[in-house]
Amino acid sequence: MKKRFRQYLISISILVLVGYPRTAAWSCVWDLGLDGTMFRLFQSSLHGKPDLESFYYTEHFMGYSQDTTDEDNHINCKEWQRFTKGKATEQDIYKIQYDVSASDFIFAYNTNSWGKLEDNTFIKWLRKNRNAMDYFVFAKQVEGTQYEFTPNWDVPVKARRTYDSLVNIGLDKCASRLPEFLIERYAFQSVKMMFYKEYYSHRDTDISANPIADNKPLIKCYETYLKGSKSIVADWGMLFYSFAFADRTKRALYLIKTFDRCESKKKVVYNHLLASTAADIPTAGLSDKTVAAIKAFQAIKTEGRALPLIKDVYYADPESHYMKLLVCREINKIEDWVLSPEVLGFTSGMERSEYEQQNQNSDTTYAYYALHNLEKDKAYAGELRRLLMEVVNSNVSYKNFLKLAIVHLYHIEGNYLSAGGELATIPHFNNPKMEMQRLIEQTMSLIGTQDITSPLVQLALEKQFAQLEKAGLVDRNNVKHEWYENEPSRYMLNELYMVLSKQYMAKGDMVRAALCYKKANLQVNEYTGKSMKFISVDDSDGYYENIDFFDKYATPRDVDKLLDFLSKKDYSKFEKRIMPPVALNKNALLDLKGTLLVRQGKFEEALDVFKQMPNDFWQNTYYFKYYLRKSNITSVGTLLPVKTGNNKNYSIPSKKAIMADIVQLRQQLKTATNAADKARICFMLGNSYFNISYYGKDWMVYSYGQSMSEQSLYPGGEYYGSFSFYPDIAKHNNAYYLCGWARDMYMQALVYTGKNKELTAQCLLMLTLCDKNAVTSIREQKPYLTGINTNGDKPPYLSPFMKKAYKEFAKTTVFERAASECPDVREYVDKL
Amino acid sequence: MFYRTFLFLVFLCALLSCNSRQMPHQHSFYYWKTTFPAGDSENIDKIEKSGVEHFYIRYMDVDWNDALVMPVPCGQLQTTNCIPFTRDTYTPVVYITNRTFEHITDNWIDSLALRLTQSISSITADIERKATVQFDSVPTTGRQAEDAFWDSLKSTAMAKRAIACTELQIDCDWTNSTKEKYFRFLRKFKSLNPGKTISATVRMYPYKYSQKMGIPPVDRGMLMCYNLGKIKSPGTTNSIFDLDELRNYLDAEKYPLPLDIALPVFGWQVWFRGGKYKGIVHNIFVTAGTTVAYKKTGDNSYRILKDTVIGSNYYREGDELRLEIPGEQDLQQAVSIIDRKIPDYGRLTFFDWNTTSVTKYEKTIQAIFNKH
Repeated sequence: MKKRFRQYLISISILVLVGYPRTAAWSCVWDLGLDGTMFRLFQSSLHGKPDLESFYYTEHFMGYSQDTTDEDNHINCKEWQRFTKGKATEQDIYKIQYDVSASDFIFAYNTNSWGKLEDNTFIKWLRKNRNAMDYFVFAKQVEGTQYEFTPNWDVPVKARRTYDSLVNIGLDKCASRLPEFLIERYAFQSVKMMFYKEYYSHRDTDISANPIADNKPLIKCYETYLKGSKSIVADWGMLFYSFAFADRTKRALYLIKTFDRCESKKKVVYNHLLASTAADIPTAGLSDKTVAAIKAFQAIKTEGRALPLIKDVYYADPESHYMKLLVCREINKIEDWVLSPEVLGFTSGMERSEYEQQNQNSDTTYAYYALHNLEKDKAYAGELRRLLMEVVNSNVSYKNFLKLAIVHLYHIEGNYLSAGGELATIPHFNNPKMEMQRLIEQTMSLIGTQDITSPLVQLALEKQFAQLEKAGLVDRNNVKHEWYENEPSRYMLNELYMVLSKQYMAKGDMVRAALCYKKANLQVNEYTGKSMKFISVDDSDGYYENIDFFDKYATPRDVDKLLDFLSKKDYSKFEKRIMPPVALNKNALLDLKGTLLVRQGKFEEALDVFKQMPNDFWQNTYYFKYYLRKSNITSVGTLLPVKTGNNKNYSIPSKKAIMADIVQLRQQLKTATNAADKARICFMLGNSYFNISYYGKDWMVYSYGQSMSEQSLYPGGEYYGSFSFYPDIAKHNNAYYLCGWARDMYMQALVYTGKNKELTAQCLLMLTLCDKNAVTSIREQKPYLTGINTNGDKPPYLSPFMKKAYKEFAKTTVFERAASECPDVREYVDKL
Repeated sequence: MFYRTFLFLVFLCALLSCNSRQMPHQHSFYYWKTTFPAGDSENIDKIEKSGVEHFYIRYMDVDWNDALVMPVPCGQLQTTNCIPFTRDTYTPVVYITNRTFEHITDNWIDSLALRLTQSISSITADIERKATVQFDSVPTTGRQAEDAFWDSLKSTAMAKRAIACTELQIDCDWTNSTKEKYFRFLRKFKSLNPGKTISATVRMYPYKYSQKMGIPPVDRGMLMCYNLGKIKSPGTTNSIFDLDELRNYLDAEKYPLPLDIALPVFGWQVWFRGGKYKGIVHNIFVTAGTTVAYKKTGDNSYRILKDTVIGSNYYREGDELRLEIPGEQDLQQAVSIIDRKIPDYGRLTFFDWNTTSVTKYEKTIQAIFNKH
């Protein structure tokens, strides 16, 4: 027995380890970035200024610019084009400026062989204009020696010497009689070189962060030749001018001006300037635009609520071009705080737990804070909306944008009627993005105010979706998704399907809720089977993905409705829209229905459903054959050191066969007349219920996933991706995690065991196991519900059943064997 | 006869007890910032008071750059004010991210070793120049005795400098999948630095499971006895340092490399929301005097009571912070455990030197250095 028990433990360990990669195939081991967890229906790009794209409140914050307008570079090219009096095209100028490398240009110049560039209009013009060509060669030389802020492997000793000579050339040219256009450019290059020379001369100190003293030559050069200029090079030069000041608020002020003036330096400024430093800039005597820029910068740097700063921007400069960006950001934040949890379940999707075994103070559960924060954030949405309504009533030029924002905020607050009223005042737009947003709001209004279960409303919904598609929205599942290939707002159709799904759920129409949920195909904070696609292991053809919604939310009656719906002959256009592309497997749905009935404790009805299915279904489908044992459901194997249950093993894995045995025992219990039989049957039923619990060998009768997928056991502690029955932990926790059914049945057995000491001892040992499992589950769930556990490991739980077993039944065969073969029992006995 | 035998046995016992007496351990500290603090004399004072004899100084990190498709150095050390930390012996350290070795090609492995060698040499040359600059500025007087004195002093100083930096260390959390590339890099790096002792950091997992994780091909290992727990698990008490975890990891076969030991004197807060890990917060603010509204909910857990923005983090009401700081008694006990398990370790090191940690752990550091 001792050997067998050890073998059992080893088998379980191997099973967990071997099963690990298989369950890993189901589990969420991918690392979700913001992309997967943020819900957004208000276009971040609605403000219309591409140069601020890096500052959208999206997963791409400070990342690549999707709309790389290259604005500054084009401005520079246009300035050159004007200087050439139109002799060179902007395209040709751009090519020479930015596509031809410094070394190639200088080589071509030195050898006077321009190759393919012979026909370039800008090269032709430069070859006729000596001064301009001289400048261009100089600029390319500078480009060739320039290093980025971040030093790389090469120690720029050589570069330092070169900077000196280049600076001298530049300053000489500035003092010459060249046209102002070229002087400004020489000045810009000189200013840049002076900065880098200083930067590399003081390798020991990062002068961009810790200024030593004013860089007077740089300041003088900038102020003499670039200050007041409207050229783009003056804007660029301002960055280096900013870093020339030792005084932090002065430098901060010029950094803000640099941020305000040019696209290409915004990220650099953002990275270098703290919001707190910007806040210290004295604003007396500054223009309204500059004050607005300072406040806007602080607002962009604020992760939390930025309403006070938005107000400051508005009051300083109502027409500030930052207003729309800040409004977009703030709405996207509120969407993330409110809708990401409400719709996708991320961040704080915990619902208030019904069971309170160890949790006495419900107001300290995380669920309390989650709800509390949601209420606060919705109230904040109202505050922002009221500010925007105030702005709308003033004479700003972007009223329609604000109206869209107001409607969206009403939707977030759940005030669909007011949203509808406001929406009615918004005209159709020629601007495609604005029109798209208007249609999105219109769709949300339709979903929120109308009876979406009615065929007429569904017809209206279909028309609405068709209009959205015509406006450019696409289903991201139909697109080969190249990152940044397309405007992400175009994929908001999926978000709308998700909103529709939630509304159908609220109305109790689980069939359409499920279909819209699948159509949306968004990542939610639950295990959905989708993760299989992220892991290169052989999944089971998306088996679970097809039933996950129903597994979590549906009743057996809902499965019947789904089966009826799927067997319909004709579908409306709307129904065709939300139908899944691949036909759902009828047997899979029957298996699900049976499983849902098992969870309700309706074993007889479950058996009736399983009987409609082919016998070999569980042999050939999904992972059933690995987790439905052939040993009889009534046997607990080596959990007890004696033989338990009946000998009838199953020839193939089968929920049908298992359920038939359970149902037979239940019927026998009803008709049993003597205590001995009742005790035996109760014990066997207890074993059966134990085996279909989380800790049992046939847990797949009850659940579709376990172990790695369970939040409590996932090493990273990540919540999403678990197979746990959240949000129905209240419904299933008792039977599945806490071994409640098994426990009840063993207790019932004890009533009848009488003088059968062996059976009594067996019941007590199984009750000990049930107890221990329950406490383990409760302790593991606790941090997610009431708070992280930092009070150290509690002493190992000692079940009162163990004490009783030892005190009264230590001399039984089963206990004596357990005392030598079962580590827990041995440990208990040894300690006495 | 009996008397001679007795004397021989006494002599033998004395000899054996001498041989089994532990060699003293050199006391060292990691320096992990990119700049040195100003104030030479205060720093020298603090270092001497702490009993630190050697510094491991981080020269730079190396990380993979997707845009450039190559490993690049980051956060290079600036050597101003380095003298207090380099006037005795020191070891340059380079931290290389594991993902560098996930992406690096074979060609780049050799190139990386070469570039690192050059960069390390450049920074070390800088440090050494600063260490001897006072001798360069002393003019010759023409008086023989005085000049000879200064020459002799200079020679002595230079001789000392020659052995100031005899070891180079690479820090990398290698995994099974990057093992081959990392070890190849180490072999190349070692070949480019003949005459230097090459050491590598060894985390507890590779220490315990050395067969699986391999032994880095270096001269010595620095056993990092911290970051032992699962940081993301809400059930963890202290992911930085836990005695039980340490005991568990040290229960392993003898590691086939001479080892130095590193223990932590740093801490952080781990941020949770609804039991879900949100991140590490290095700036500890759940202390007395903070303006942040919080309440203590456990031995080292705190709950935020009001929505608060600190830096770039937006803490919501209900968020929790787990404060992880190694206990002083735990550190002392840890050294005793290590003494038993790895009695022949070389340096006893703390990570990492900063004013706050050194002040907080001053007595503990002194006690440990005095005893071990």
